[in-house]
Amino acid sequence: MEVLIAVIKLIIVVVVLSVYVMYATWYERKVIGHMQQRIGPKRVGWHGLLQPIADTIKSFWKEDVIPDRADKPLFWLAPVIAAAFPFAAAVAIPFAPPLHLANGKVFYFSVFHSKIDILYILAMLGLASFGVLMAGVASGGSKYAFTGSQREAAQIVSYEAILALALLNPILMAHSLSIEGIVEAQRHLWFVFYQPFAFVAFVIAMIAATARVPFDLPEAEPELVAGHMTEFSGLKMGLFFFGQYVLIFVVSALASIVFLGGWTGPVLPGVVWYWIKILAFIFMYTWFWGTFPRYRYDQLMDIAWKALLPLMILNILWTGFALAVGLPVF
Amino acid sequence: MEAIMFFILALMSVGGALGVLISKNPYRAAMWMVLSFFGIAGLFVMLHAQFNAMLQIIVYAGAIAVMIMLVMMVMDRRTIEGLKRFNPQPIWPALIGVALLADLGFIAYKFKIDLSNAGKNLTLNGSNTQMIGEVLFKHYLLPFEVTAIILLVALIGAVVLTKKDIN
Repeated sequence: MEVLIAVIKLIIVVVVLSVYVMYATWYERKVIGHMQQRIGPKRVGWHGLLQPIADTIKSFWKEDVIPDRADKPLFWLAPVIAAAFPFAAAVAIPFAPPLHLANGKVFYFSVFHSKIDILYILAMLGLASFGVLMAGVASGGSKYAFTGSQREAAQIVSYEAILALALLNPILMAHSLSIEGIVEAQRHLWFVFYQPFAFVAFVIAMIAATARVPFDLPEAEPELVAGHMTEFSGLKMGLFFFGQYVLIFVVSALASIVFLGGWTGPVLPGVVWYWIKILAFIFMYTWFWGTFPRYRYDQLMDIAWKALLPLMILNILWTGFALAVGLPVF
Repeated sequence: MEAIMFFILALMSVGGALGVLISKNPYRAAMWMVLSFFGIAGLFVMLHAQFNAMLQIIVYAGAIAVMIMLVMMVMDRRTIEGLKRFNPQPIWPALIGVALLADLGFIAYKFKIDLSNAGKNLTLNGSNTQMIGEVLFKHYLLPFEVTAIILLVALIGAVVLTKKDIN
C-alpha cells in the first residue's frame, strides 16, 4: 500500500514538474518581454499560452546530432543525469503542508520524507552538476563545451560550500535537519529576521548554484555559444533545460522553507503562503535576469571565497556563541 | 528483498571501484568512482545511517569527485593522455593487495559471516545526527581537532609546494 502511494506521488510529481517547466519558459519569456517593453509570446493560443506545447513538440522532431568525436555513452548519459538528479531532489520537497489524519497518522505531500531532508536535497543538488561536467567531457574536445563545464565545476564547488554554510545557521537554530522541524521552529518568527546575512548569502549562492543571470558563466552566450550545451540538440538539450528549471524550483522551495517559514503565515491558509513564497523566488530569478549584467569570472570567485565564505564563518561562530550563552535574539 | 538491494548496491560499489581501475579514459574513471561512492552511500542507508550516507554523497561525490574532474579539466589534455596508468613496479602493491584480501578473508572466516544475513540491518540502535555529534564533539574532541589541523597543514603545504613550482 505504501509503495503504491509512493509510486502515485512520484508520477504526480513528475507530471506536475514537467508541466511547470513548460510553463516556466512561457512565463519567463513573458515577464522578460514586459521588462524590456516587448510583449513576449502572443501568436500561439491566447497570450501565447500554447507556445510551450508547440516548443515541446518541435524539440521532439528536431534532428539529433552527435559529434563524430563525442564519447558516445557519456554523451547519452549527460543529459539524463542533468535532468534526473534535480528531480531526485524535488521528490523531497513537499507540495503542501503535511496533513494530520484522523487515525493519528501524518500524510506528507512529498514522495520521500526523512529526518535529514535538507542534507538529502543538498546531496542531490551536488550530484546534478555531474550532468554538466559530463557534457563538457563527452562533447569530443569542443572548446566551448569544455570551457563551459570547466567554469561550471569551479562555480559549483565554490557556491555549494556557501549554500551549505548559509543553511547551517537556520539548522543550528532549529536543531533539526527535517523540513517539518525547520518550519515548526519558525512558527513565531521567520528565520530571515534572525539571519538576514545568511539569507542574502543563500540567495546569492542559489542563483550561482543554478547558473542563472548574473552568474550564468557556464553558458555565457556572447563568449561560449551555449556553454556545455553547445553540441547537444533536440531533446537532449531540452533535458538540460528541464534539469535547470526543476533545480530553480527546488532551491526556491528550499529558500522559502528554511528562511521564510514555509507554510507559516498570518490570515491565509498554509498552502497559499507556501506557494506565494516559492513563486516569488521564481519571479526573483526572472527579475534578476532582466536587471543584472553578468559578472566576470574573477569577480564570481572573489564573491564566493573572499566575501561570502569569511562572512558566513563569522555568522556561524556568532550563531553558535549566541545559542550557547542563550541570548534572546539568536 | 533486502538481500537483493544489498547485492545491487554491493555490485555498484565494487563494480564502480573496478571501473576506476580498468577504464582508460580518466574522466570515465572519475564517473565510475562516483558510482562507487553512490553504492557505499546506499549501504549506509541500509544500515540506517542516513546521516553518514548523505555526507558520503555530499563530501565525496559532490565535492571531492568534482574537484578531481576540475583538476583534470584544468590540466593540459595531452598531459592527461600521456600519464602512465600503471606503476612499473607492480609487485609490492600486488603483495599489499593480496595481504589485505587475505586479512579480509581471515576476518570473514573468524566472525563466521553468514550470507543469509545480507542486507539485514544488524546495527544496535541505528545512528542519528545527534549521536554522531555527541561522540565526535564530547568524547573525541581532541583527536577531531588534531585531524582538522593535520588537514589544514596538508592544504597549506600543497599551496606552498605549487607556488614554489611556478617561480
